[in-house]
Amino acid sequence: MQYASKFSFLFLSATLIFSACKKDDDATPEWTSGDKNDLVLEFDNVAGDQDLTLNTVQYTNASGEKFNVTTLKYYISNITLKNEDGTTYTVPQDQSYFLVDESVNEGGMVTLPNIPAGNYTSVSYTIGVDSSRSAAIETDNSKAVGPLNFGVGGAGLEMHWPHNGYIHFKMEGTSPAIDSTDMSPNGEYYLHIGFYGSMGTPNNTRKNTLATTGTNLIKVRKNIAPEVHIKADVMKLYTGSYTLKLKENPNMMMASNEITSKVANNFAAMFEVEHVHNDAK
Amino acid sequence: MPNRLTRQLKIGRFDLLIFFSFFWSCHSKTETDPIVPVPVLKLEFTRPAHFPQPVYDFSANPVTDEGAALGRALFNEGLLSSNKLISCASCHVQGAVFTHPAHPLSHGVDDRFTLRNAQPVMNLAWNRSFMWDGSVTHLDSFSLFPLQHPNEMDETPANAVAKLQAHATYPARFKKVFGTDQIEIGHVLKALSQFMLVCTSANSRYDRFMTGKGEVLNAEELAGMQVFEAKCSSCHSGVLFTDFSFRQNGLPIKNRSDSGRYRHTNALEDLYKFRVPSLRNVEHSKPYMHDGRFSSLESVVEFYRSGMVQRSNTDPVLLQGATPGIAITDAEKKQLVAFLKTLTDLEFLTRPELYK
Repeated sequence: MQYASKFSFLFLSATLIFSACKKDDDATPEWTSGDKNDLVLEFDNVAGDQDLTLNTVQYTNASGEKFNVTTLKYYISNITLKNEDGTTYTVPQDQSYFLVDESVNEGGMVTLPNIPAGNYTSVSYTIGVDSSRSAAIETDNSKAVGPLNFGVGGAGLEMHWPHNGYIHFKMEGTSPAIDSTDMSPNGEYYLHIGFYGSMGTPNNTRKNTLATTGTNLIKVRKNIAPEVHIKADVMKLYTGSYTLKLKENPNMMMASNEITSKVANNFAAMFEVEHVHNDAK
Repeated sequence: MPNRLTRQLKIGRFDLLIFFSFFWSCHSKTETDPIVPVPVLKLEFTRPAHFPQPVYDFSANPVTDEGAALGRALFNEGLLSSNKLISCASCHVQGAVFTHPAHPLSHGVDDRFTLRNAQPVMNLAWNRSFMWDGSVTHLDSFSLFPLQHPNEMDETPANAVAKLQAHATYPARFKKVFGTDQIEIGHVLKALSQFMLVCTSANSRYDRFMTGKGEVLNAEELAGMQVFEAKCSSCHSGVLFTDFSFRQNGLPIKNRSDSGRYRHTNALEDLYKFRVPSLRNVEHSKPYMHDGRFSSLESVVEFYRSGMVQRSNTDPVLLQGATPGIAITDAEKKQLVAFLKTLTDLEFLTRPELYK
């Protein structure tokens, strides 16, 4: 009885294993060339372990300064995807500029159409607007496509410095740590990190590559439009290679070049892949 | 007869050959050296027919295409600031009626903040004075103030001129306009004035409606116009939507160090008085008030309805009811905002010749 039981268990297991193997062997390829779908990068702004809430919630940074956030906007551009077969897919450049805006419903959804089916092991992008585009716009403003448009009503109107390119990353708010002085009316802080390297300014764009391997492998299929959930933690603006204190530097816009570059190093490290949805529709 | 016909035909063929070879030569020429002239967008000052005579004395600084184009280049020139990064256009952006979008206050060299909200560069030919407190009375001297102010461009006129003089193309451009390549600050100011003077806005839906150009305003906008005429036009009067006066409008004081026109006149009755701004293109010049405290037209109308604080010199025109302010119903508030949006002149906000 015992033997019979054991034997039947083994037999059953073997059958299961074999049938599983067999099924694999017979499987039709998961995709064929020409299959395409959307890929969505969802930039979810958070403050540490909390979802970021504009205006009403006060947070405390690594230096113990309390602050709220009234505006958070940044450009994501020049997106490329690395396929596990070693090739790279580059989103056509004119369609590769996005403005993440916390004040807009779903303002962090970056939808990339027509991505060839395949498994992708990393996502790369620029935080900000690259130098060559910025320079080209100086002489031809028709190059200011999509959210770069700084004409009347354009999304870029509040993000563009005439003859100095774009504000790559903008965060504003108030902090009781900031003395109300001429330099900072009403205890406000303004982090406008721009410059692309023209006229002796630093290039404050930053490149990011986020690995999407293992359980985070991006699987684009004919019937799967993956969603890559990317967490952007504003707390990391204050720490990292540079410790940013609002009391000391409440305003960073077109001056303090060295410090803006240090803050740019911090924001380059604020993004991480939280998870990837590969749900079939 | 047949002979003549053949001859005619031959001539005809010959003509045709010449005709085609002409095309051929044209074609080959366009590839290297375009002979088709690119339409030149001329900069000029024209008084709109429904506007009054301008205040600016054009005889002392006649606007020319080249002069205004030079002014436009200077308007966009970072060299005029001490760190070479701040130009007039930094805080005066065309798409925002030449104001600073999303900036209650602006920031200049080293991110030092200005005292007040950047005002539009628009219809300045009709202004008798400039700044929120009217402290500058001639357009040609206006630009000296942002140029030298430590919180704006933080530069000396001499340094600014020296940088332009050392530039590859500016001396020749000044020579063409002012007859000398020895650049003077007066010429810099006059060129800037020429550009600012061509920034005329007179082609809103309201203008086309009033001048019978086939524009139709809807019922809400027309109702808003009536409310406006009854309750707002004593200050925002005439076709320029301002009487150019300075008034105490009951705005709660946020920054005591800004005493308004008093800073300029030292007269107590001018304490916390500010310019009555034009409302043309007001939809796109937010934020509003001298300190940019309101970010929507609705909040401005609401302030006049319920937010005023009476001072000893608050304008009597705003104190006619039981409480300070203007009686405006909810419906009228909506109508007013709809009417104010008819003052938007999209052509002005997008004219390519006004962009560097």
